[in-house]
Amino acid sequence: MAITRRSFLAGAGAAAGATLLAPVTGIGSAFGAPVDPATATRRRLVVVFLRGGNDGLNTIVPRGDVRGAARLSVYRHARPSLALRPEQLLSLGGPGDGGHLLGFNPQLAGLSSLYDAGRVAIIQGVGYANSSFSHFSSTDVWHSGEPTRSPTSGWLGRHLDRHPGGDGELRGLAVGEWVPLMLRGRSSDASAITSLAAGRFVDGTTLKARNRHEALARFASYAGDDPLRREAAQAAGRTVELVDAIERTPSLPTDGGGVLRSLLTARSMLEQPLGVETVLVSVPGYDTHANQGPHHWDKLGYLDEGIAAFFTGRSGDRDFGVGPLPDALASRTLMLVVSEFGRRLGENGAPGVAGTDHGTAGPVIVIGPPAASTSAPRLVAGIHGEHPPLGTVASPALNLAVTTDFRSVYRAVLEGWLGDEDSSFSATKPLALFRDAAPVGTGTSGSPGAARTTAPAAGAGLGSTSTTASGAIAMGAGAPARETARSGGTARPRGLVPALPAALLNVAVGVAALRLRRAASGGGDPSGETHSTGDDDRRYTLPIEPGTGADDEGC
Amino acid sequence: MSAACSRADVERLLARAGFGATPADVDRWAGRPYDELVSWLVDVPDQRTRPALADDHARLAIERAARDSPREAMIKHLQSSRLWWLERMRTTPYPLEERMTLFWHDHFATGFDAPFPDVSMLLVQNETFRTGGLGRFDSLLRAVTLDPAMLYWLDGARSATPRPNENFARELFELFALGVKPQIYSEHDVREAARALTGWTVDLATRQANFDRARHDRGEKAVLGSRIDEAGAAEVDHVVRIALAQGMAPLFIAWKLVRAFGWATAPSDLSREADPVVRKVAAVLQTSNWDVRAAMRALLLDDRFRYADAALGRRRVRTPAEVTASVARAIGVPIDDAFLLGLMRRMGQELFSPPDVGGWPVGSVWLAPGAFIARYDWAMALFTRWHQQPAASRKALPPATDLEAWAAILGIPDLSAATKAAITHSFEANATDEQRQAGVLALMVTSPEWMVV
Repeated sequence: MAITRRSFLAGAGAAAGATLLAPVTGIGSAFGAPVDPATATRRRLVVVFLRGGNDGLNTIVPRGDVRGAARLSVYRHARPSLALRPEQLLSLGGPGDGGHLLGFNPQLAGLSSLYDAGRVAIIQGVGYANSSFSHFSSTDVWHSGEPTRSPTSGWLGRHLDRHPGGDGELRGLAVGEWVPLMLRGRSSDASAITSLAAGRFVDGTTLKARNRHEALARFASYAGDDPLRREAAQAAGRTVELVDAIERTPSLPTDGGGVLRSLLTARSMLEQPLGVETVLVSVPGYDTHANQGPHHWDKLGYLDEGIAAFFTGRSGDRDFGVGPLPDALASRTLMLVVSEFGRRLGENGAPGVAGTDHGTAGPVIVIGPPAASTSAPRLVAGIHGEHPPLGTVASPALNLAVTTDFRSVYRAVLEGWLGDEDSSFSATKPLALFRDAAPVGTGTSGSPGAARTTAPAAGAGLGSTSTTASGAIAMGAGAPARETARSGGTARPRGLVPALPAALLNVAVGVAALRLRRAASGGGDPSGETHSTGDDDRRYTLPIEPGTGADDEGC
Repeated sequence: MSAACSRADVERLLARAGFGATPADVDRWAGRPYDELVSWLVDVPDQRTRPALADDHARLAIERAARDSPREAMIKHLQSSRLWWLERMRTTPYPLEERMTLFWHDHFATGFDAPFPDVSMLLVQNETFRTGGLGRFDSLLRAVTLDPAMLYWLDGARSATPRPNENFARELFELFALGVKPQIYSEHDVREAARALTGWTVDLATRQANFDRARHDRGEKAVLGSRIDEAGAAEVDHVVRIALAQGMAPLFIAWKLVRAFGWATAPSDLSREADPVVRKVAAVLQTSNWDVRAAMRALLLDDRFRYADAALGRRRVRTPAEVTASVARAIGVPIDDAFLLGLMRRMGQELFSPPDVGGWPVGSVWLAPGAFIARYDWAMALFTRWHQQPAASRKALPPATDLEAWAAILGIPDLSAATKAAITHSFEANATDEQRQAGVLALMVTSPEWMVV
């Protein structure tokens, strides 16, 4: 069946002309074609975009007086109700490398653990000159990598353009309702899906259903003039191919929603031989203008849970049943956590409802392969770049200075990790985020955090240092109990939908595709993740023949 | 008097400015002057004098039930509110009124997750969009600035001297009045406007905005080059007036209207590169003193809007809310089950829960795979609901093989041979007619001709 469809689309695609294909939906490949075995050895990149402007100062938090920059007294004075106490924080290192002067927010225990294992780089003060304080303009900048002009493509979309994959590869994937700018190129074939469950048609995979889906794929031969209608027609064919690919992807063994499900969905797709290489997971809810204390606390907890689950299959004492990321994949997967801007140093509002307004620079977090991994290149773990100066108690900084140009991070990832170059970044020096692997058992590579290098001066030219992570920190001690992930909706009675006459029904179909909880990406809002309705778990009856049931997730 | 409507004119206009055309709509309007149809859409009877609709009472009942109800009940009332609004879209005798309500909900995108006392505030805001949506934009902007739901959503109610919260002031300029094409306000203007807007809270007894002088910054402010002297509660009027006096304001609002009802353009500088239709609508807003009704009339009557033209005409992708209401309207099925809301969420649009304060995206994003699958599933589920109705009382639907009749039911003026062939291809030899009908509906509403209008 799939081969027929691909052959058909190949003909239709020629008629439609690949150049007309719109950037958002892309087109051209028939997912599920045998993927070149070499694809498995390609390096993968997962970008987690914290939407709304993550408060960097509440993520990587001053714990002492960072040399010449972040003074604890200024931080505490500027944030009388939001400042965290040093003893709450999870230190980034021992005395001697400066890391002890900073700490992870206590909600980030999983990330802290990865840091202690030598897998995390923290880049301080990342942003761009003349920062826009607009969510939308600044998001465009971070997605496109081009701060100085109207964006038309994303930095990863251009990468996909320059390095077209093999036929049938799904190389760019957004976990969300649509493909954001970052993955859009001129001819690239990124796709978007909110979850595995949402990637299946309600009527399943029987012959009758397949005939209908085949008809959808045939829309691709639409021959009208309207470009947008042609795009819609191509999207139909593309969707059917994606569903085919997802049919072969094992269901997630875990419940939950939000960033946890998004990252596990990303992981499932990466584990399949689909050719997935770049993934974008957008996480809403970081625009903490008010009542930041509890909101940001929750958001970081969910984020940490998702990241820990992605890499280790666990978070705290929760086991998500997926095991750690398999070695072959772990050694080739890099995660980048970014946001459109950081927030102000000073809090606003009255105590109890205080938040922070839109700011400028913030930290970028990079998570790489296990330290014992022998593949090259290796992530230089530890702290990169200079902390932005906070000013003095009498004269605190209004905004945090940009000490590292974000393009130096993108360029380092593109050149050092993905083996590509982008002329948009040529004026910016790459950050020294990677170095070649040392042979196993020699040098210092076996020791977590022992990699040491000197990063080149970046951004504002303040100079930068690289310090190392140490594995000496006790993990999670004193960290408050974290709210666990949103539980799945509970089964509900069928309510208003009575059973159909038996004559029409072959079987009542449990519809995995309809069991959809709020997706973290594009779903909306800070607390939305806790307000899932649970309506989706109902079994729904169709007057059509059922799916096989074999793909249902727990129905 | 304009040229008489063709059947395709009716189908296209109601697809773009309503919730689709049924065969009855086409029979009613085809052959009559086009401007009469536009008038019918635009000249909505005044809410204060027209008879109340049954669902007006239903809305008030939800509001009453939701008010002061426990936090745990919020989802229930929220779902009721969503279903109520979708049913209103499906059944309204004033389709443009509902489309404008949807437009303003997107423009002033407010989400339920603000720390509202309860969901009723969102319904009150929704009614403000409905009653004022075709009125004067300056009045609407002022009303929304002091709308209790908005005061919570963008933190106006939590902004006080000496550390004002800038959230609302920034979005007032960027999203509600001026845009950033180009950005004509500075960070200083944002901070000054935030100072001028301090002092507003919500009186929970009356559900009205309340001015608390003690929280207000009494100093002099300068916004966009204009000085605002201490005027307490009246400073909000100065801020709105100053913002709307900028030449960018009518261009920005006109651009949003054209984007929502016609086609999306992405000029980097609206003052230089605006579409001629955007310029025309902006001029109407300016000369009519912000009369949205006049602006919409000018847009819908414009030949560039009216006539299908591959370069300009069919550049609009139906949004999930329109898909939801239009399909249900076409086959006569009520939207009365929260299950259906899950499908709409999968299409990428949950009412009262915008992705962020910027509202929903437009255009080809709605063609992404997840939305595509959900739309297909939506049609399948809705057909099931149709089938569950007693045969005697449900709307008669054509046999699966009569594709022209199905196209008429869904208001498709130009179903292509390729699409027809694809649908016919799906017919399985031993399928029942109901099974085939479900497939026809699902395939038609995922077709390029229905989605892009």
